[in-house]
Amino acid sequence: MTVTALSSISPQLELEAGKVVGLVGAPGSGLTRLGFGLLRDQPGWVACIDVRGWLNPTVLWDMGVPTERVVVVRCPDSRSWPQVTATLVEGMGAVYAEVPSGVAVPMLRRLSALARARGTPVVLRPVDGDLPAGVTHLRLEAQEVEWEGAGEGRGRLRDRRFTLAATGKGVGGVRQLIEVEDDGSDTMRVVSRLAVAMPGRAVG
Amino acid sequence: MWFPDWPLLCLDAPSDEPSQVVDDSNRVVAANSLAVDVRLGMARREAEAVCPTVVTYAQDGGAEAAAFEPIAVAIETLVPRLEMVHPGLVFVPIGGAVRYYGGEESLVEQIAEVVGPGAAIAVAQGPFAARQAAILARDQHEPYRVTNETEFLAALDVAAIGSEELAATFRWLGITTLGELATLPRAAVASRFGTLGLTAHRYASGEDSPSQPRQVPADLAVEETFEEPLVNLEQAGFAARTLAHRLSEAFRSEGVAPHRVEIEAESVDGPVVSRVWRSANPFDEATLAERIRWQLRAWVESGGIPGGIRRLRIVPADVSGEGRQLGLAEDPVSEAEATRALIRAQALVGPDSVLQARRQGGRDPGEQVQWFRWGEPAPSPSRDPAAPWPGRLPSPAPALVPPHPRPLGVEWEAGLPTRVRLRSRWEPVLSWAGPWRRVGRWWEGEPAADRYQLVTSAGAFLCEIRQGKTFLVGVYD
Repeated sequence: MTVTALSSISPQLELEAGKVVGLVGAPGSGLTRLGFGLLRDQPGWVACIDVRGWLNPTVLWDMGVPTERVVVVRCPDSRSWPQVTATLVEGMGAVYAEVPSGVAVPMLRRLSALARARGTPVVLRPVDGDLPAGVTHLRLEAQEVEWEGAGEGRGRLRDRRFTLAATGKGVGGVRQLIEVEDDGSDTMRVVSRLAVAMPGRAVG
Repeated sequence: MWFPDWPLLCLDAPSDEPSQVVDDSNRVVAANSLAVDVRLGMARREAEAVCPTVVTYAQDGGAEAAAFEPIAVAIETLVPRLEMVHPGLVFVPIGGAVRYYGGEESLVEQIAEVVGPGAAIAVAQGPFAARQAAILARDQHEPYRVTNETEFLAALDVAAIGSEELAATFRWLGITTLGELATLPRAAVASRFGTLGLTAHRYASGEDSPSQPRQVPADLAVEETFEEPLVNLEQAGFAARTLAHRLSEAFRSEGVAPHRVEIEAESVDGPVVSRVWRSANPFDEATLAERIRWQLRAWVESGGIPGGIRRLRIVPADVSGEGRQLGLAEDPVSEAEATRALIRAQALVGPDSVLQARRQGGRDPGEQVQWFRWGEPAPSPSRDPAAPWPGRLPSPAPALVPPHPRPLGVEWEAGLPTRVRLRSRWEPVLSWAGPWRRVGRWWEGEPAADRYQLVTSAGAFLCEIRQGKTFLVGVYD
């Protein structure tokens, strides 16, 4: 495995019109905050689809998403989820959607096509498991997470560093490891970005 | 031409007992002279309190319009192109007809003859003056003709402008009549009282049509042709909603709204009928749909459209940009799309699941959020966000907060957490912080709880220990 530093690539993680970003990883890896952070600079109304009723809008406000333009839609039913999500993708400025388990793969592909057609940026966060191939433009998978600030009963949680593995067209087909620093403020910083070539593949 | 108590008249309410008609929001819209002390606009309960014997009827706009249709048709045989404001009140442009009928007086007599008793008829140059004169005509029980409109308006009390609050302010400033209001410089009135003041000044000066009526692009008219002619009211109501929606969509992208619409219907084996409706305030989608429905019902019930409706056309006129002012960053199209998407989402998951949130005070992450339904005004925060809240958890906030604390497996050794059970495996605790104690509502028997932040290699969790049991209350995701 060869490792190349790619500092010239834009250090920002951004949402693009009509593109689907998939966030894959167990709860606790920092992906919800990252997803909300991606929504911050989107114009118009933002919809968050909440499958379990767990989303805490305080984090949205901490990330600087304007309160009055955010609507949280609770949809625990995986049968009505595709329809609700499609409706919101059609009309809203940006959509963050938790994906319940049991949504059919063709349904997710159709949603992805709808997002492309409508030019709506979409963040998909499966509650359990992974997203099928061909749905996302950029797939970010949580690798590891480290916290600073807490000790043995001292201090409090303060800073977090987590590593994401980025794959998909959004990174030109080259798997990258992105290290992100999150200090609880409204910005997340990309500290390093490495292209990881799988054996037998050339790095361009 | 005005029937003051049309809602009562068309109901055939017995004239020997006090009766009143209330609208959907339970405000009195009509009351007969036996219902003493009942004033229009009063709440139903208040009215029933001042006049306990009053009989209350609910208003039915469609039935009123249907009952009024024969009168409208009768007037139309004398003067074409009348404008309906609501059933019972019509403006008849008599400019051309006066000469044909040999003077105002004979025309008014003829109109009075065809409409029958109970109508207040007034002649004036503008709709506002005519409306005010009709009130005098009702009190005098004979037609009222305004000969000098400026003088007539100048003598009216400021209450005539229709806004009690503004009229009270004017009175307090020493302005009691519209004449006094008209002498004030318009720019000064507009700068102090805004659009409402400007409208009042225009009324007082006898200019009550929109001062700069914008040109309506011809393609804003909407039309629908039905292969199966519409014969019943449900179909007509549905068509009304669709057309009103299409028209308001077209207007929304232009950022304007119509004051006047012409409803035109072509019947299968009869002529094309049309009727103009006007409104002092620009029509919105709901009122427009209602007017179209009323008119269609009136035509259907009076047999004005033999064989059913084949084509419907709505032509807007007198467009003003009033009330449709959007913010600079606001895009009317995307606003409308978002609203429509959210309404559909409400229909799919229910209004209690389409929510907006606001920050409020509290010690727990879940407490610090106040949820309210999208589309409803935000309630005032029940806990002050600016208060100190001792014992609240430090930021950052957990991104995932279960609505009810969930049991969590944590192993302790000598009072220190060592392992956390995540799904099926145990994760060692790398570091931890806390506890933050929450006393709880001890007066309601709620036990105290200690909150800990636990860090594992899979992430950080917020847990609560209550009566020896551990619960998950948040995930720092």
